[in-house]
This record gives sequence, C-alpha cells and structure tokens, in this order.
Amino acid sequence: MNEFNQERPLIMHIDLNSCFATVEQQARPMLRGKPVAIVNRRTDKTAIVTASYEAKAMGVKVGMKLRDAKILCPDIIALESDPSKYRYVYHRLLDIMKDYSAHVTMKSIDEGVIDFHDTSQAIAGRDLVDIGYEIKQRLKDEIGVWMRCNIGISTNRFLAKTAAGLHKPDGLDMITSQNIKEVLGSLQLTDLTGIARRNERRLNSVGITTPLQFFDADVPTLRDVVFKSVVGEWWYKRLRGYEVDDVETHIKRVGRQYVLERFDLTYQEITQRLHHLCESVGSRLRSQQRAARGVYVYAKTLDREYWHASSLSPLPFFSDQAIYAQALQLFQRAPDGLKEIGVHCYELADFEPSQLSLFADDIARERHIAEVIDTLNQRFGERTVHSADTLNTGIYVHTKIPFGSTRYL
Amino acid sequence: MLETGRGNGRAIHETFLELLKREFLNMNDETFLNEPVEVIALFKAGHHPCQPVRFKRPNGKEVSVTELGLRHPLPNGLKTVHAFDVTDGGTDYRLIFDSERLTWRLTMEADHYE
Repeated sequence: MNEFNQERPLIMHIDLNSCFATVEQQARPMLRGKPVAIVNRRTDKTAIVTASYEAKAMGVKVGMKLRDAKILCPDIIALESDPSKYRYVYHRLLDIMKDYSAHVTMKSIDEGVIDFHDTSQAIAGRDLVDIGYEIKQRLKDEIGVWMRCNIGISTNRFLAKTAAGLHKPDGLDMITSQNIKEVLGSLQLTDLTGIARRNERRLNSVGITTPLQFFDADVPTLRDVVFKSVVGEWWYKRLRGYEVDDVETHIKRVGRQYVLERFDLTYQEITQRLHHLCESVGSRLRSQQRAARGVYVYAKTLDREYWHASSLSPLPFFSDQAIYAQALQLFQRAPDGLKEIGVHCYELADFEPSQLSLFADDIARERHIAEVIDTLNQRFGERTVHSADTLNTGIYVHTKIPFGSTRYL
Repeated sequence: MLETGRGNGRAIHETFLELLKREFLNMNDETFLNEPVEVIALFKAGHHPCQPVRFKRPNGKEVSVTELGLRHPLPNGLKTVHAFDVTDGGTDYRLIFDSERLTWRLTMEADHYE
C-alpha cells in the first residue's frame, strides 16, 4: 500500500473557524470588521477562548491572556461567551449537514464530518465541490450573512481536515493523489493534526523534518523507530488517504474545572465551588445514564504546581452527594494558594444497577431523589434545586460551552 | 440538605453586586435591561419566519431595525423564549419574545464599541 488511495474523495470536513467570535459578529452587526475576543469571564487574567479574524490579524491567539491581547490590540472587544447562541448555530449546521448524508459526525461544537459513502443516488451523483459551495451559501441563508466556514474534501478524515485548514477563512479545498505532495510541501510538521511538539521531536530524531519526508518514510521506520507501535502504520495509511480515524469514541470520564474568581478565597469558599462542580458533574453523568466508581480531584496553585488525588470505590455511585463526599475527603490534602480546581468522575458504568445489593433500598431512595431533582431542574431551569451549600456560587461558576465534546449540546 | 435557589434575598443581593461590579469595574460595553417594549414584527415564510421591524421603548424612543443578526431559542426549563439580536445600524439590541405570553422585552443595548 505505497500508493495514494485512488477512490473518489467522499469525506467532507466542515469547520466554522473562529466560531464563537463569528457567531457574535453575526448576532451583533456593529461588531463586524472589529477585533473581538470571546472569554469566559471578563477579567484581564482570563484566557481567550476564540478570537475573530480581525483580532488574529493583530497577533491575538487563542489561549492568550486578555491582558496580553490588549497590548497587541488595544481596541479588542472582549465578550463573555453565550453558550445558547453557539448551541443554536451548532444544531443548524448539523441540520444542514444531515441533509446530505446519514453519516454525519460532529467532532466538536464548531466542526463536523460528512461521509458521502452510502448516500442517496441524487447526492452521490453530484460534485462534492458544488455541494461544498451550496453548504456555504446555506449557512449564510439559514443562519446569517456573516457566517463563513472552511471546507475540506478528501478520501479520509485526516486529509479532509487538513484541506479545510489550507485557506482560512472561507476556503474550500480538495486533497487528492494529484496534489497531495504539493499540499504537504506547503506545510510544517506541526500543521498536521496530531503532530505537536513531542511527535515532531520523535520525527526529527530520525531526520524527518518536513511533511514530505514524513510522507516518504516507510512503514518499518515509522512503526518500529519513530512511534514504536502500530501508530506508525496508521500514520503511513493516513498520509496516503486511507481511513484509520473512523472510530467511535466512548465516554471515559465526566468532569468540570473552574479557575477561581479571586485568589484569596477561604477554604470554605473554595469547597463550596468544588461542591458546585460536583453537582454539575453529577448532573452530566446522570444525563448520560451513567454512574461512576472513581473520583479524581485536582488543583493548580499560583506557583504553577499541579496537585491531584483520586479514589476508587467497589460500587458505582451517581448522586451529587456521593461525588462531593469523596471529592471533599480528597480535597482535604490540597495545597494552599490555589488558582484552579477540577473534579472528574471515571470508571464509568451503566446507571442501572446490575446486581442485587444489601443496600438496594438505600440506593433506590438515593436514585429516586436524584431523578426527581434532575426532572425539576429540566422542567424549571438549571440549578432550580441544588444544595444549600452552593447557594451563592452560581453567579461565579457559570456553565461554559465545552469545546472538545458535543455530548452535552 | 436541599433548598430551592429562588427567592433568597442574600443571593439576589450578591448577584446585584456582581452585576454592578461587572458593569463598572470591568468596563462592560453592554447595558443589561429588562424593559417591556412594543414591537412591530413581520411573520412570514422562510428561514427567518419572525423579524422585528420597529420597537418603542418605555421612554418613548422608537427604534427602526435595519438588520436581524441572529434569532435563537433560549430554553428556560420547559418554557422557551426567543432571543432576537438586532441592530438599528448604530446600536445592537437584544429583544426577548416570550411565545407563551406573547410579550417582548428589551434586555440588552450595546452601542459604544468605538
């Protein structure tokens, strides 16, 4: 398999670049053409979640502190994220994509893949480039005139995503056997999705410094020397347009984190915020019909140290109280001077009890209470019923939009 | 121990203080309002079936909408209200339409981006 995949390119990657900033500019016409940064909290120390193209042109990058962005771009307009808007646009994009194929996978809130294999005759007979331009126009017609997306087409998910990144914003590119070398010749190793600094160092160690050299490397080099596993073989196939990334992912953990709004909070105030996170994690866990056996708590200090602790129980649990009780016990060993806290549940299992227990009545009661609270919160709005301990935390710990996952959208 | 999150005086007070802090200390460029407004809206077929055209604020000021930026639903428990982000060409506004009560409210004004 040293030849590039010769089948017709039938994978389309769609990426709403600078998604949140573009949606805000769509919603508020007076922001168009201006540098905009989306942040989770409007403080100087907050990190930028998304920057508009105008801000990016001034050197502003995602993850940069707002304070630093203001030095580069004094006129930058910082807006707090508005998850309901982005959720709406996500669903509209998903609706549009589903009109073309039953095989649509959203990779995150702002990007998805349409697999045109096994689609209807009417769609299969059309040129995918035409469909790409049609989707761009539909975004403008059905959501708004400012909406733009990058589209990439190829024979596998990896190259379709690579194609989508070639001409931002509003590009449409196709990667085939005819232009693969030309495209790879224009990129750096770290431009390839999945090649960050560590993998770049691995490749550099055998003299591979460009994507073209990576493409020309043979399987034994990649598998036995560079990646030292089957991953090397996957990369060989991936670069040649063969599909290796069409895998279903399963939820392995559910978690939330929070950067403290002030760094002089008392221990009790911090544990109240931890409690709030546990309620949020519990709700998410139960919304996926899952229970957990493990709790993992972590904290980052002002001195940039990372502390963590975890515990594993023999029986699965699902209630907010059970999660918080374990998290609080672990958190007692946390250091001082905290900047960020987080909690995850892991070792997930089905919510349904699988075997008889001596404590079946207690578990049934706890389960019933949790279900009633979840129902009330769904009916009357998030956090209508919660612990008294977290009564005053809601104004600080907001629900934010998850970038990497679409399971709660 | 469980308690409902509504109607607590201290929580409301703290929320108000937080909003004040955001408004003044962090130089927020949006003004959050809750004004009942009278709206002339166009209901029609197509992708944008409802478009506010003009609205009148309690102070008598009338605003002509030049563009509907985005309309999106805002779930509030089982009830859904609709947020209309609109502009008059100089200021951006957010109108909230309660489809159950058939009422409109102006909830945000942002006009000092320069």
